[in-house]
Amino acid sequence: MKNNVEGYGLHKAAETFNSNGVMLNSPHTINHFTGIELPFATHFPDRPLVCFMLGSKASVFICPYEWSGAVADQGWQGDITAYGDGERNPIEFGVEVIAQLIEKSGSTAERIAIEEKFIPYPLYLQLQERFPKNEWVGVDKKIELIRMQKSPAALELLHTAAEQLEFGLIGAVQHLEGSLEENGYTLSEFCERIRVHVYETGGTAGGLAAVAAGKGKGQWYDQPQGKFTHGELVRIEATSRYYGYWANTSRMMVIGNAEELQKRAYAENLQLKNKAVSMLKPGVKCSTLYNEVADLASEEGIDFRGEFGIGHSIGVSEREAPFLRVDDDTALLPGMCIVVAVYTEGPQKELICVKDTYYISEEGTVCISDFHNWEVLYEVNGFRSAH
Amino acid sequence: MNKSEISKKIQFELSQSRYEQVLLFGLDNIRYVVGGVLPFLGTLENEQVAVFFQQNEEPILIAPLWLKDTFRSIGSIRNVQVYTSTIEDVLPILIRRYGLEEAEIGISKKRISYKFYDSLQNLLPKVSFYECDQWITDIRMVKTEGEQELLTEVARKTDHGLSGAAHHVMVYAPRPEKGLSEIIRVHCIERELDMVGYESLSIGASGEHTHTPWPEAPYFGVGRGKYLEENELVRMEIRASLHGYWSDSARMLTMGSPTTEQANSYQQVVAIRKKALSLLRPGFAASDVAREILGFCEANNIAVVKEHGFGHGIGVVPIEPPFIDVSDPTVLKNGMVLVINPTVRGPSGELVRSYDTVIIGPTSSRLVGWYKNWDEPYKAVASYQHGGG
Repeated sequence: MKNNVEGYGLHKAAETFNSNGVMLNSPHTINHFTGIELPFATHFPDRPLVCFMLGSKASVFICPYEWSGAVADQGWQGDITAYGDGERNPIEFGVEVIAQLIEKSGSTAERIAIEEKFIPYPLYLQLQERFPKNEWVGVDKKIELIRMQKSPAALELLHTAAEQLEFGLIGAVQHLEGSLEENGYTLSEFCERIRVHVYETGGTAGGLAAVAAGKGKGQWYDQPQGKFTHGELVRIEATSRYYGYWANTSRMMVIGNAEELQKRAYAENLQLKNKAVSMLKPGVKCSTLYNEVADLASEEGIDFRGEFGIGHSIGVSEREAPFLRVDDDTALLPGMCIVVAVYTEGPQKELICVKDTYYISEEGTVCISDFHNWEVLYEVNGFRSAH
Repeated sequence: MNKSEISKKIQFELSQSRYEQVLLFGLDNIRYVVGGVLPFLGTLENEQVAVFFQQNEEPILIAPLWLKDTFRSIGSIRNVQVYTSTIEDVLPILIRRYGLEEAEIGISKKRISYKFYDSLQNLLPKVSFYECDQWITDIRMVKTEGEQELLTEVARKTDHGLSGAAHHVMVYAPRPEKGLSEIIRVHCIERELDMVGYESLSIGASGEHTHTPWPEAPYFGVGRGKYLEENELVRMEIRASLHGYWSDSARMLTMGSPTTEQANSYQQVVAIRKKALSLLRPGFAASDVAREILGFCEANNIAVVKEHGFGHGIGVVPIEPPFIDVSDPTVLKNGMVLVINPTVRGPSGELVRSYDTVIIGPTSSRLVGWYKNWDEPYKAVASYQHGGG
């Protein structure tokens, strides 16, 4: 089965980087450039990936045996060289494979573009020692820029992923209706229901599924434990994936009827969020956007939690550059997808956040995640809903 | 398990080592020293987390500002130092604060990029950084009693969850693979296992989908339209965690009584398991165990998938050293916890496997976590074995 986004392409990348070859190590970047998705790879630090292309001569994907079939099934056209799942020295294995490929090419003075931020220290060291005449050129900034601007096909996948996650989340919320007091719904079961509903709508896998309630309501993440409590303001944080592209959301609900203070805190959050959204235009700097929201919070006396920033981009990873933060001067560009994530405090020091994803273009900014009207705080107070 | 158990162990090992201080990076090392459940660590592409250990000092966690409260509440490390932009902004300040600008510091080089290392060295030109990857790996490989208990519990609950899911498989009203992978996960959740996404994936693969470790990529572990069919071999897999410690499990199910060929393949897996258990004991090198098993398979004409290896360590990540593989010279020690994972090719090309968690004791090894006797595969029959859906 092949990912329906072909990726930026390694040959095009080499042209862009003005290099003879390209070596990628970040699973996310590999996905963006090749369309090959190994979503769990970042969680297996003893299993490095190397995607290497040298001119028009050869290319190789180096990965553990367990993942090699998945690489082939997703349409990788070059060689696949798998190290054993029990290989203790995968870096040394990878160096040998790359060395053979370089030596076979007959040239030892190539300019090879690399991801300086992700190439493991021992891999770089060994390659440099082995091929001192090669020029290993860091192109991280260029890669970052390429990843920031989404193709129409990528936008479509991001849109679908956002829709699946939203439906997944709403489906899980609707199961709560009328079932809390009788069954004492647990937080972990609720999280699982988000994932099940994402799968039911066609999502290819879940990511984070967390509920901030009880003792964990004031922190970004806590392991879901215990049961829902009447009267609580609850935050849901969830991510999911569709063909390598991510959705990332956060929604709020009250167990029972919302109190005035909860409603007011929610409205204040939306006020800041709407300010941020109104400024999502090409040319606006991320830092400017952040500062404007922080200033508004200060003027209005809103308990703004600025340490979270107010958003970030999304694509082949669930949280990526640019970041809507005080220290990020990146100017927004057409083609960017930005998750606006403004965190404020509720009456019980709960973190409040209502995340949505926006696509920026010259024609205007469009929300691609808002399939339910979240302008009113969701109250879990009814009989079981149909869904 | 006591949250501070690991920090104390590292402090002790530090006092016995050549290092006076170490700087640890990497999802696995951070999960290990911090403790607790940190599923999101692998998603932080641009934001590093580190832990700084010094002899006779409390450890310090360095993390992005927005994760400050999360780390303070979840983990065992109370001293959390934060940064806004990059970790390079705060690390040099921290090291100078302790008067260590000319010190020797151990660093886990395998978990950082060369660019980051260069940057750190430029910011702290008089610090001598020494690789400490093997040091921390050696510590992590030998589990404390608390870790052994936790790994036993997660293995047992996972096996129970898998068996619970298998109970719902019926030959004459088969469910789709997607339905199987979902109920594997649900049954694990019912046993309090943590199934947050990322590496927590379950597989219900049948027929030709058992020929490859990850069928239908990029639908990793979800399953699509195929239904389980009579006489097929079905592979059930799950990686789950409990309080941050993992299981790695795979079991086989036959749709009806196994054919002679299916039974033979499964018995080859059982034979390798028994051979492995007889070899796994302190003093043996992992590579020697692998060579012995390879020789055993060759002598008995077993079509073993040697690329898959024969086993691996398990702990705060589902796959970690040591590896029962010819490439790993690690000498086995009392307290190591492994998953032995022999895989053979079945009669139609299926990957036939059965994973078992094993604890190395003072003189031998013991298998832990079985809910049922896996000397035979699970046999699905014509009706539900517990009488319901």
